[in-house]
Amino acid sequence: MMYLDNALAPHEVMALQEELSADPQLQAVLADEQKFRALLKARLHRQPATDALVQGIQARLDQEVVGASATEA
Amino acid sequence: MSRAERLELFEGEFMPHIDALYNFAYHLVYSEEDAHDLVQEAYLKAYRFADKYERGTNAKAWLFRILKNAFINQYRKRSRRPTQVDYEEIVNYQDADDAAPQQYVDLREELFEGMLGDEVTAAVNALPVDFKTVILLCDIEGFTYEEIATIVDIPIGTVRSRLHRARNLLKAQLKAYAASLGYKDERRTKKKKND
Repeated sequence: MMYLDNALAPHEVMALQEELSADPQLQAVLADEQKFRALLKARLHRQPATDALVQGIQARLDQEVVGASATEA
Repeated sequence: MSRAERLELFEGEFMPHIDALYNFAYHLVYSEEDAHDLVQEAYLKAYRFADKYERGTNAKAWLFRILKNAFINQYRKRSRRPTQVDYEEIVNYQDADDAAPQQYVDLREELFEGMLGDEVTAAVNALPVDFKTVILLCDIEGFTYEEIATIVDIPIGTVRSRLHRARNLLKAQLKAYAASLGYKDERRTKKKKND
């Protein structure tokens, strides 16, 4: 399934596409794999970063900057 | 690098990836609190080592690599505590992946169609962490094999074989879920009838 991962060399892509065009069974396997990946991507719950996380990072960064200033002084 | 340049880089190139990083961290540790800690740690390190990053290159992959290392360190610390999870049970660095047989697990679309996000998410989260990692990096975040090899620090051949095994394992788990919900692989049933 390196074909779907865009991990094949151009000549391998061409060879596989040629094989695909003549093999309905292979086409079906490829179609199933494409759907599996699309559904996986669509259905996996995504957890977006919260405002609290962004603020927490900002606060730790401020501490870092203040700490660096104190060291420089 | 001046402080102003560092902050500009941080805001302009690093922070836009926070949702992807948090999502990755959350699925690795499956805890909001631990994921927060991991992402904060990763961003702090990114700020400290910003001069090692080449502006305009692949900030997302660079940040994911930092986060993955922070994850490993976090679990190393925990594994030293007797009541915590054994790190070696979670991350398998004995890469026997390349020697794995390359069989393909077929998952019929209609079996998968009936599943909800909760089931798919549970199946992904139940994968061993090294398999879950490559699935998240490749199938969810769209990293290339080369990028994954750099992030996870494994050879490209191992990325390929680990992905193959991870997807097969995931399909097998989803098939088991589907069977428990009463779905059947009609194609296989028909084939057996014809045999």
